[in-house]
Amino acid sequence: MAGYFGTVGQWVLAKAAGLLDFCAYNALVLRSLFHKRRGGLESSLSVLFKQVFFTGVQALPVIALVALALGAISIVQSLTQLPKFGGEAFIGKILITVIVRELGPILTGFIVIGRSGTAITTEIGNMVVQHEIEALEAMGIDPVRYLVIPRVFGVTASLVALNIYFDIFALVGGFLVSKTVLLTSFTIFLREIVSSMVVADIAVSLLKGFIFGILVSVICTFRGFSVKLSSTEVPQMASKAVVGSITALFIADGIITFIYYF
Amino acid sequence: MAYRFKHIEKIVGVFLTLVILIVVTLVILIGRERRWFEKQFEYSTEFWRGEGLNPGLVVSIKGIQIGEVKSVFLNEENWIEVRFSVYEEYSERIRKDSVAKLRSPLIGSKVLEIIPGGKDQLPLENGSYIWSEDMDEGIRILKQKAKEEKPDQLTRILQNVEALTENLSDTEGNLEQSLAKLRELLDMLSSKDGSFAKTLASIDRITGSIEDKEGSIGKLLYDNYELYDGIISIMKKLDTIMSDIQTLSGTIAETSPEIKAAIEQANMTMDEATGLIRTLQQNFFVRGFSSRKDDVVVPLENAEREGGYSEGGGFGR
Repeated sequence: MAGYFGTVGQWVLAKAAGLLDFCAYNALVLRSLFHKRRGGLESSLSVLFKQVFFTGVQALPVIALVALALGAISIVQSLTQLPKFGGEAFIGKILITVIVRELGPILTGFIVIGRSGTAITTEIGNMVVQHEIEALEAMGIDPVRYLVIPRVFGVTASLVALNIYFDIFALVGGFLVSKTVLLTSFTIFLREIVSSMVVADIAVSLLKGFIFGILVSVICTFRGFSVKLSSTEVPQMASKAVVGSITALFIADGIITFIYYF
Repeated sequence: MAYRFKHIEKIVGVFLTLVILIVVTLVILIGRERRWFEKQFEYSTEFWRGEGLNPGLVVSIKGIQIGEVKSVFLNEENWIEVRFSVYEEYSERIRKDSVAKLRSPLIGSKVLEIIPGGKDQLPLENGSYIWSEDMDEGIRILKQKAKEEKPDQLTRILQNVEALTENLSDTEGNLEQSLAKLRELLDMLSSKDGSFAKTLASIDRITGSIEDKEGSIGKLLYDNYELYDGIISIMKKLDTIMSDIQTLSGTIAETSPEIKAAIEQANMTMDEATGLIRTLQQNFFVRGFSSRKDDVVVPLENAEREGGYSEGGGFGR
């Protein structure tokens, strides 16, 4: 019994220590973000652009494919289920709520975690293993400012942008199905969508993208820096980064939705 | 150009610029749909009750949205004050005799319906107050408009229902009077000293007597089928008599030509006898023995015509 409690206690202490480390890491990132320091802007911008390119632009085909499929599925399900109880009038509103508010940000977040989150953790973890971080520090370069801040900005900007692209592609997918089934013109479909949409829908979608981007980038870079010596820790940390990011995404999504509706 | 961009920067620039353009376009489209960029006129009204009234509620004329409710609050007189906006293109329809009323559709939230003003009235200025259906003036205007306008079938039904419920709820209406009379009647019937109670007692006594086999009705009802058997017996006898009469009438019908001949024969005999008697009365030798002198003798033929026989009434005719 004592052994069992000891194991649980050790697990709790390890988690608490990990959480404290994460909080300290966040404080470090914030300090680097607001710490005015001359030089290094060009190289940081270069990293930022590369990050947006890899996380955002290169993820666009996958996002487009998933979004088109989701939009089409949502419309098909709406068109088959809603008329059973006279709810055709709510198709636009349901499409907006499901895609723009909820599934769009979540699915975009998953894709970014899968593609870029793991890449960031692996990249930084390998840099730690190969003592590149120590080399940067030896050269007087703040590794958080040089490696983390551009990735936080890059991933956040990419996730917000991908979120909007996802919404547009999903609505296009929905329109293509509507065109096939209902022979709706684009003008009527657009009018239906726009009349069902309010600015709060876009704002919530952008807010979720922004918060998800910060969470994913901070958690993944933190896991990268959590690698200590061995290269075998890198995939472990990548796995932890994915699990931690997905968990954080769901919690943040629930909190934002709860705050909006209550 | 002062700056030289890398290929990757251009792609990222396009990627992010497109997003900004999409967001701005969407906001503009939503704003146009919600008429953010149009001038709006504000009006206010008051209701006695505010269930279902909240900001954002649709303001409509005959089902077409013309604006939305901006604010709802309880004023110092404990009336629900509603401030609402109307799109510029519909503002001219809000006139002095416009009335605001709350409508509850079958599905969805309530709607603030505006009954547009008459063309002879001037449009109300921005910020004006209009009557509601809960105010005396509003009710008067609505009744006047209802008389002037030709209502559709649903409106007519609703007006009839409204009139019916008003009539039913009127304390001096026909229903109340009828109920009062009915109540009086019931009181009278339930009174122990009333005529109805006496009548009931009499009926009770009579039915008691009948059940006790007292009186004619009682004896008739409780005679163990004696009356019934007697009636059956009489009926059988009547049946026999009728068959006899039928037989007799048949015989008479068969013998009627002979009777007629006998009567004619008798008439002729009587005529001859009469002639003989007259001759004898005029005879010198026997005239003194006759008691009847110059008596008017009615021939038997005339007697037949005057009442002895009638057309179709004789035997065998």
